[in-house]
Amino acid sequence: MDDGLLPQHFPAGAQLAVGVRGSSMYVPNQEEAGKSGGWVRHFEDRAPFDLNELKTGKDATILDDPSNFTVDEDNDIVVGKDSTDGSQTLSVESSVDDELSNDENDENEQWKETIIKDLRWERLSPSIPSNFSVFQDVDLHKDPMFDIRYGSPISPQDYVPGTLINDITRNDYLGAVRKSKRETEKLLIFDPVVNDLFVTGNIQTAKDLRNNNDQQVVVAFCSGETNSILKLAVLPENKLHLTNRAQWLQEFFAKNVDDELGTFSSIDLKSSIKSIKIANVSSLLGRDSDTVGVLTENALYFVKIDNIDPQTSHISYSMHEPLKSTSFGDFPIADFAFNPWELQQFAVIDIKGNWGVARLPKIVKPGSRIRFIPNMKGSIFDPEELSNWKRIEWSSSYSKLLIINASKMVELDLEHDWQLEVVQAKTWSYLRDYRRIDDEFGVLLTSKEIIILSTKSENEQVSRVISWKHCLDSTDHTLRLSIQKLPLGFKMLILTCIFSKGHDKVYVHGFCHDQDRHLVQSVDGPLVFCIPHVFNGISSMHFLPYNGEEKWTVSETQGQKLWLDFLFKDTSTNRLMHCYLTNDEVSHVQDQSFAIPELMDSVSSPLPFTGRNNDQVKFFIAQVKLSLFEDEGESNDPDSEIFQKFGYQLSEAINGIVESCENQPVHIKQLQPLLSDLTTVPTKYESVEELESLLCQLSEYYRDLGVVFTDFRIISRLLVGEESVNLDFFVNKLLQCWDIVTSNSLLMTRKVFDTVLWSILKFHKSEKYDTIETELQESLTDPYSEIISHWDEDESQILEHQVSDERLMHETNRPQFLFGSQSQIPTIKSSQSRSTRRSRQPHSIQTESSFNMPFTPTEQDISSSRISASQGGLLPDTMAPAFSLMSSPTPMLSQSQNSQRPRRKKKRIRGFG
Amino acid sequence: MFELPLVIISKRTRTSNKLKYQYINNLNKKYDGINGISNGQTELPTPENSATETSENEEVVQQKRRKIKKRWKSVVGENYSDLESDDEQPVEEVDNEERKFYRKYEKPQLTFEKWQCDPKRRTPIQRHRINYSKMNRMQRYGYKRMETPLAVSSRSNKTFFHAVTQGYQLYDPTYGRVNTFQLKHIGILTSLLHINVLKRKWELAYKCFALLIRIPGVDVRTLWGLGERILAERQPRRSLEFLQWMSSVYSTKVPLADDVNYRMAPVFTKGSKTHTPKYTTTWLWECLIRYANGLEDLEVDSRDIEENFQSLMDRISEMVLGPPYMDDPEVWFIYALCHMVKADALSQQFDPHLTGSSRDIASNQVIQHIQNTKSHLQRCSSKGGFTYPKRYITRQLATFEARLHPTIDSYDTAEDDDDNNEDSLPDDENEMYPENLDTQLVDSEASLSD
Repeated sequence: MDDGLLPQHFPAGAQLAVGVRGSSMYVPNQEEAGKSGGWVRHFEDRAPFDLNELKTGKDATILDDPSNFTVDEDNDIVVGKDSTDGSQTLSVESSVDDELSNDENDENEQWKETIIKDLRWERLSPSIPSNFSVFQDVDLHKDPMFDIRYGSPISPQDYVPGTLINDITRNDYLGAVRKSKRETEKLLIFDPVVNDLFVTGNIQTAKDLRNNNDQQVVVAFCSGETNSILKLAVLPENKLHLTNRAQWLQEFFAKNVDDELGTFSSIDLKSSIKSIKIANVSSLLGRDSDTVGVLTENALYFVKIDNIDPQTSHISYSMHEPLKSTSFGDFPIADFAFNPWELQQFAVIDIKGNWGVARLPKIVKPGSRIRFIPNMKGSIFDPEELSNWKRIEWSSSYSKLLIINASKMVELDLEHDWQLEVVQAKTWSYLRDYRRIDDEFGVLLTSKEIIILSTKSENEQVSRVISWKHCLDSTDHTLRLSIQKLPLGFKMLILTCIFSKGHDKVYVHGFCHDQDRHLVQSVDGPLVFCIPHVFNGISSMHFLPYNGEEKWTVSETQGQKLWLDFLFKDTSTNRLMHCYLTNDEVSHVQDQSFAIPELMDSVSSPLPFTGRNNDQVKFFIAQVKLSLFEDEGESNDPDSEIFQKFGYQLSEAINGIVESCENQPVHIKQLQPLLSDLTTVPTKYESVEELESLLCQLSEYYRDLGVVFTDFRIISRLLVGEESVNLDFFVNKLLQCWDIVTSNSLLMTRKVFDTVLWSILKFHKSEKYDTIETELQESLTDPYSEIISHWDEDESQILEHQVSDERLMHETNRPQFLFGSQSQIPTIKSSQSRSTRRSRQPHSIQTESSFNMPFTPTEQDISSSRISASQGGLLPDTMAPAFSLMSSPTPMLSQSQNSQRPRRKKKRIRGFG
Repeated sequence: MFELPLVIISKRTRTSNKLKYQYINNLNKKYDGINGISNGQTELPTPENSATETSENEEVVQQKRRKIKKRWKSVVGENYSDLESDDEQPVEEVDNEERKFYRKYEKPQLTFEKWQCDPKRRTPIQRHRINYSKMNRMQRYGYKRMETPLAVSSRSNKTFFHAVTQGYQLYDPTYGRVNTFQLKHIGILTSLLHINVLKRKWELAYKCFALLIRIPGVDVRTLWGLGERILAERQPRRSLEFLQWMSSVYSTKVPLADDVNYRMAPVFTKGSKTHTPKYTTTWLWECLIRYANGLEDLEVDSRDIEENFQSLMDRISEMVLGPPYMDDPEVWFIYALCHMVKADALSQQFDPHLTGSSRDIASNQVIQHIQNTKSHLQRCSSKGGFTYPKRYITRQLATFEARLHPTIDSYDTAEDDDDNNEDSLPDDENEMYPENLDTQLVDSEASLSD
């Protein structure tokens, strides 16, 4: 059937999502064959096995941990000896650590001075880089990357001796550094070129081919502190089927430290590795590749595996001359791909979109260089695309290439000299990753969907087959894809896993296709699992090749136990770890918590009911349920009686407290007692309005005595987002919320309301704050009290000043941005005064004026604006020249902002005419 | 981790986007300047180029026409529905540079990206590569133009700008997002909703869904798929009602304005004059499949399902009279499948022992449905952009028809026996298959739609 088995939109294919099952085809009854009719859908309910049964193994085993890299003593000495300029400073500093106590103190003082000065006056010269951070300890590990001088990235951190940091007191730097640190943390940026930092794949050497040996699984990963060492190892396949293979793997990798044993070959590339690939050869060739490609900061290396010793699994390899990025073009290489139909050919693309096809020399010998094929060069440069992320991959045939950047995918045919922009993703989504499945399918990950592409050679173009909307955060730029093929009876299951550098969850969705590859369907339901031992996120993830093909027969698919091993790398620690997915019973099943660490988020984790909270909620609900039963059969007194009693008790209690306050000193914590602490609060009343009027009367009565009650309206604004005029309104709001959740919402609401109300209502005597303040002031030590007293002086001066000049008061009251007519205030000045205001605000609480008055936002604003005004008042001379200098750009901006709208409108009107 | 079901715009993202797009536009301008491109004409006209160009020009003309039409409509006072004006509200706030960028690109409605499969659009491989000096010239120009806006922007925006222009990407998806408790709340609920759906805890998921769609600002159109799934598991009937509600409340016949910067992709969330919303097609498919499965089941009280099926067909027949369904091949295909299912069911229930007029009526019904299937399929393929297994369907239709014929032989021999029952049978037939009336109805529809 040339039309395909299922109806679908032509360029769009089937678009599925949770709850969207797409189009279907009706299969009528066939009485002759005894088959009843049904539907063939894009969404396969009767999957050979349930994806949701897959669980992760109980634990991840750490295979390789570059940060625990043991260094023997000899190496350290070596570093000291052949110290080039780069490493010299480091070794000197290590000696500094040792001798610090003696003669370095003077130098330290100097350091300290500069640092403190810089920290206080952040923006003044000399400028401190935005990512300034200090570390206390320097651990000198040998990493050969420091041996060379070119191309090695400079550590973004500045070295400051540890004792110095201890010296600088909290007040000196913590405030400043913390603040700047937070800012940089919020702007975490990554290099999109960095792709897979390890890879597993099948390798078949020339000798294997001659001797008709099977391919072997090789894992290639980067190691070392700067990711500059490539390690290669053979994973014996017979060991991978063991049940305790996790442990075996761990032991196996533990050996990797000594290279003497020979199972691990390590190659020092002297530059940090960005991507590792093993050629994925087309099944038509009936063999596997023997080359591993490694992309580093400045060159592309190819490691040809010559022989794998069958006994010791020792890998002997030879390396081609590295392809320097300078020999390709002006820009660093971003990605490369092997030609699946010709082992010697590969394609590269640089960060601006220039691409080329090159050929490896047949024989590895010094002097034989990698040559670019002259006619196969070009560019997909797009001035609008800023990201360095590029992908290049072979498409359906020998001469067709797919070139991808974040906003487009271009297919091109080298033989027939055409290119076509197959995908243009400029509007709703962006391309995030692409993986080639085999000669006929590829998976494209966009910020919105997972799309299975058909790259069949009989099709003219790459086309969409089926897509799944994954609903993951589309602003997450770190989403990457990993795929695994699983033969299931007559079907092939393609597992697509999405992982991110931002969290430890992996989103898995399955697709399957039948044997003739016409019918591609989506498997029921996505799956999210959580990988253990991941702190921040996953930087790369790969499944071990699944070679259990012969084990799968049709009959067995149902009850088949499945073990999918995968390796992954953690972003923060850069450890290589092993874990597995299985539908088998895991001995130690843990209920995975789906808490998302979200390091980016400054508010705590979004998991709603953790620990205590959960208990509290449970307790609360249990309580309410109890009271449900209690309430029955109890006759209530009329409201008026309850309230009368309550009011009487309350006022008596308050009187008592107010009186006692007069006489004896009170601790600052007891200044605002809760109403509910004073007497038993009524719970069985009916009218909320009555209660409100009671409270109103109370507060009015006591206002004359100088006792202030909490205003419920202000607090309700914090709770429900709007100011509720009265309590009744608030109750109704709550009722709406609870109505969704529970059937006896009325009771629940009442309970919640009571709890909320009585845990909020407080009262305080404002005079009390005065006495406490003087007490506090007296208790302060000399320097602090001096500051405070000076502070007050200043303010009183300003106050006088302000009373005389109302205009200034008016001006300082508004936020000091440059909108509107106030734009004469020079920008730099205003931002500075804002920052000083912010840093001083904590002190301002201790000033007299703010203690005298109740804490209302307006009061604080005024007081702080006074302070900022004081700043302005102190520097009247400096302001004038700054104003005249800076004024030229700012009005321009404000003008452009202000005048935009009217002008546009004008145009529109002209259009009608 | 999951996408929030609402449009989030904060001041910081807006300004940082403005910087970014301003820079991009500058780069683009300089690039065009360097290469001597003016107004998008890249190369000398070749037959291929001009072919693509003319079609592009047509698009532009159409867009203009649409714009003018819209203006006139607003002048006359025939304004769009409330929903549409809702959509356009955030648009007005968008900065100019960003809009300038987006205006250049067609906004696809069916997919998130614009997919191009037409071999006619092929161009020769672009051979000339970008080199450092050119790039540097462009970048210098770009930076120079950005000096003023950068001088007044905040520090984090500056850092963002420098990182992005160097080709790095932002790690943090929540950058610039306002950190309010409401957003936090929505974020938690969304995660819970997704996770509970994935774990198949429908009761919990239902609660999350119910809470979430009541929060102001949350758009149910971004969550309807989840809602449908949850309802389908809990109360299958309700899920169809929900979809019906979605498609009746959120249907629109207004074209998607191309010059507007929508924040939400219309793919799964909206419809327009040229785009059938996804919830409507899902609703039709779900109805069709569920009712058809009911038709199969002869034991179940078929009356109810028959009625439902008929009402579905009636509804589709009404829908295809107007846009956007009129031009949507998928709707026509569903319509054709309805008839096919019907033809299958009827041809199976066809009693070979019938004689006379009742027999004619019964066989006519089947043939009528087959005919309708064919004509609707033709409609479907004439709209283009939709593929279906043509040969398979024709083969199936032929077997339906064949079910009527082998009975002729048996009928000839059994004629005498059947004669006795002749009088009683037609009534049964009429009672059992009230669609006798339908055929006429279908007839008239067909003629109407033709």
